[in-house]
This record gives sequence, structure tokens and C-alpha cells, in this order.
Amino acid sequence: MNTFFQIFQGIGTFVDSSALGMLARLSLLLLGGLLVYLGKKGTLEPLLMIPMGLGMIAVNAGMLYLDPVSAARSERAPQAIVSPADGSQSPAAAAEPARVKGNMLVEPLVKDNDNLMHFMGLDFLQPIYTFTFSNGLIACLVFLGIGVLLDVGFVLARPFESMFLALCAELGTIVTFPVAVGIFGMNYGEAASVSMIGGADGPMVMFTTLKLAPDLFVPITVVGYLYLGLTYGGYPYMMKLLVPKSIRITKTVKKPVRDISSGEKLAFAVIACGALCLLFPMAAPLFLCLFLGVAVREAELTSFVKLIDGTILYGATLFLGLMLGVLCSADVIFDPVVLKLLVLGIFALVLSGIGGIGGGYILYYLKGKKYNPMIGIAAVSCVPTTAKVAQKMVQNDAPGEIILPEALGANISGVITSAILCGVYVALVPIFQPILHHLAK
Amino acid sequence: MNVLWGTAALGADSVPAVISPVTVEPSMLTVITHAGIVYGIAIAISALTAILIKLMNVVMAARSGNEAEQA
Repeated sequence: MNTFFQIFQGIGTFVDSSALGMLARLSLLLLGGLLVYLGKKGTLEPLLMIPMGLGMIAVNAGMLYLDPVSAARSERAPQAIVSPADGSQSPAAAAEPARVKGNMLVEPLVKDNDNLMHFMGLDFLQPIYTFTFSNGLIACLVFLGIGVLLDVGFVLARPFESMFLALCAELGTIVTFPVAVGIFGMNYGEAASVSMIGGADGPMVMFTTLKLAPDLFVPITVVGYLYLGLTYGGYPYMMKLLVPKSIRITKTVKKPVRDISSGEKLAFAVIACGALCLLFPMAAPLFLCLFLGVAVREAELTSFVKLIDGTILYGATLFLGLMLGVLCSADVIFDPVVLKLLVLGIFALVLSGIGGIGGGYILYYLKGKKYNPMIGIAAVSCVPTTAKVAQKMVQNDAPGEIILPEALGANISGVITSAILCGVYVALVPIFQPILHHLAK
Repeated sequence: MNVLWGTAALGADSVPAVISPVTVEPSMLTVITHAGIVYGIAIAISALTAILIKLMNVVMAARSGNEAEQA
């Protein structure tokens, strides 16, 4: 029987787990299948969910016993048995190699350079993880792609309205922070990182976590992206719950808007990029990538637009989904802190949705009931998903009613305010932390 | 400081909890104030962005008006 399990190590490692471990692997296998199904059905974002679901299945099915050298170098090992200085094994470890479970896809927890180089040559996704995930490059590439998709003309046409909605839709990003610190006992960096899930922008969650809570990078990113997929399927129910049908059919009065030239949009991108980088140098990579995308689009550099919109954005999304899936191995993801993250993540997203619709209601009353509050949900910046959700929902109740320009204005402003909040958190948390220590003394 | 940390690690009850950064627990009021500062700055910068856009709009509208007049 042992030989059987030695040959078929996927089954062997499964049988060799505790009941909880088996259940965890089984649940993640099923969850992976469910994500693929919901992605295909269109309930969740297929571009992300199909690679993610498959990655999740592969990593939880394809578990094996690492060879002794890899086991010694893996952070999954019960204790470090390789000397970082010369890479040599201790005699005890060499005599009795540990049976450490792992996979041939990625070792996200490895930090030591020698060990990292070992897994670079072993796990095929390790170079992608190390060179694009753990330094935030993939977040910036996705942001570059988002920049190319954004038509800032929608914001320029109605700046106050759009920015107001976007700030309301950051409710979750703000309220989750004190809740995470005060109730869940997280430190400021972790709390700020998990709060960013309320901004509903994956790249921003990744970037903030890398800067403020690198140890929680894997679970926060995975939880964040899992939930972002839910905005597509979950927000319509929230909208129906919060906005009665009599208000959902409100026709938004359209003001005549001046044509915004591409030169104006380019000028906005240049000024906004410069000003935001000046204010928040720590978040400069994100601002640069976002506004570079906008600038490339508005300068009509068609070759660059094709490259970024097609190759870079889709390539980054594919590997983002795949990597998020393979990071969901039972031993990495089933950390007690993940439960807190699951609760706080959904709390942040729900609050942001409520904030957005609340902002929509304020405009509804301010404009004499001639503004559809459903537009508010689009300010939760998950570009362009929430804007599409808002238009689809309004279309269902009031066929022929077009709110997409207003929704896209709020949507794009949402990206800008999320980036601002990311910059504020990244800049202020390191300042707040010493103040806390001082107060504690 | 290291001595204090070491003592804390040994589990000495007499050592105050505040010696380790992990055990610093800010009051809820402090945390809410900090969240308020974060939101305040975000609101100020977003408002400035909106004002900047509005100014750009006014300038551009005036310029296109002038151009139309000249034509």
C-alpha cells in the first residue's frame, strides 16, 4: 500500500493528512471547480475565475512529498535545516530527511535568496511569482491596462458628481480600518491592507499589502480577488435590496456636456500623475502606470494601445488568475488569519457598496429626484464591472435608460480615489505606528 | 530593551505588556482619529482634483469660445 501511495503521491499526501487537512484540500478542489463553473456561466468574471479555479484544482490535487533537499529549503518544513550561509545540511537532517508536502508549481513563502534560487529552477511558476508578484509588477501591469481602458472624459465632464460618489463608495475602505484594529486586533499595516479590499481594485490591494503587510500578502490578495469576483454576482442583489423599484426606474436628467478633446485628457493625465506622485512617492509606481495608460490612449499611440490593451493586460490577467489559484493551497490558505480576512473583506466590500448607493441617494435628493441612485454602485471602482452592473440593472427596470456615461465617470473616479487612499495609507501608516508606540510608553 | 524582551519571552508577569510592539493596543478613539485623518486627506485631495478639472473645463470652454468668436 505504501508503494502505491509513494507512486501516486497526490493520493498519498491526501490520505496522510489530518481529517481537517483532507477537508481543506477537498473543499478547495470543489471551490476551484465551482469558480470555473461560475466563470463559464458568467456569474463571476471568467477571465480571472477560470484560470484561478484551474490553478486551485491543480495545486490541491497535485500535492507531493518534496525531495529531501527541497524539503529542507522549503518554508513549509517544520524547521530550517539548511544553513543560509553555505547551503549545507545539518547532519541530523541529512540522516533523516523530513517528509514535507509541497507542489511543483510555486513556493510563495520562501524568502532566503539561496532557497529562492533553488525553487526558481524547480517550480515553473516561481519566476512569475518572484519577479512579478512579490514586487508588485503585475499590479502595475494590470493598472497600465486599466489606464488604457479608461476614458477620463467621463470624469472631466462631471467632476464633482463623480468624485463625490467615489468618496462615498470608499466607506468600506475607511470604516474597515478601525474595525480591523479595534475588534480584530490587527496592526495598522494589516488593517490598512485588508481595508483596501473595500476599494475593489485588485492591484491596489496587492500594492498596499506588499508595502504594509508583506507577511499577509498571499492571503489578503487571494481573499481580495475572490471577493472582487463576487462584485459581479453579488452587487445586483444588494442594489435590489437597497433601492426600491419605484426609485430604480428614475430617469436621470442629462445635462448637455461639452466635448472633451484628447489634448485636455492628456493634460489632465500629466498634471494628475505629477501632482499625485509628488504627494505620495510611495505609490508613484501605481500612479505612473495608471496615467501612462491614459496618456498612451489619449496621445493616440495606437501601437502601444494594442500592445497594452491586448498583450500586456490579457497576459497579466491570465497569470494573475493562475497565480492566485495556485497560491490557494490548503496549507497556505488555511491560516487562522484568513478567517479574519474573509470577514473583513466582505465587510469592506458590502460597506463600500452601501456607501456608493448612499451617495447615489444623496444626489437623488439633491437633484430633485432626477438622478438614479443605482449609479452610485459604479463608484466602487472595480473597472468596468460595477459600471456595467449599474447599467444592466437600470436597463432591466427601465428599458432604454442609459446611465453608462455617469456610471463610468463615477467608476473612473473610484479608481482615482482608491489610488489616493492607497497612497495615503502607504504614506501615513509608517508615521502613525511610531506615534502609537510613543503613546503606549 | 533586549533584556526586557527576553524577560517577556520568559513569561515574567511583572513585565508590562507595552514593551513589545506587538502588544501595543491603541485606543479605539486613536484609531478612529487616524482613520479620520486618512479620509480627511483623501477627501481634500479628491476635492482638489475635482476643482482642478473644473478649472480646466472653464479655461478650455473660454478658449474654444474665443476661437469660435475669431472664426
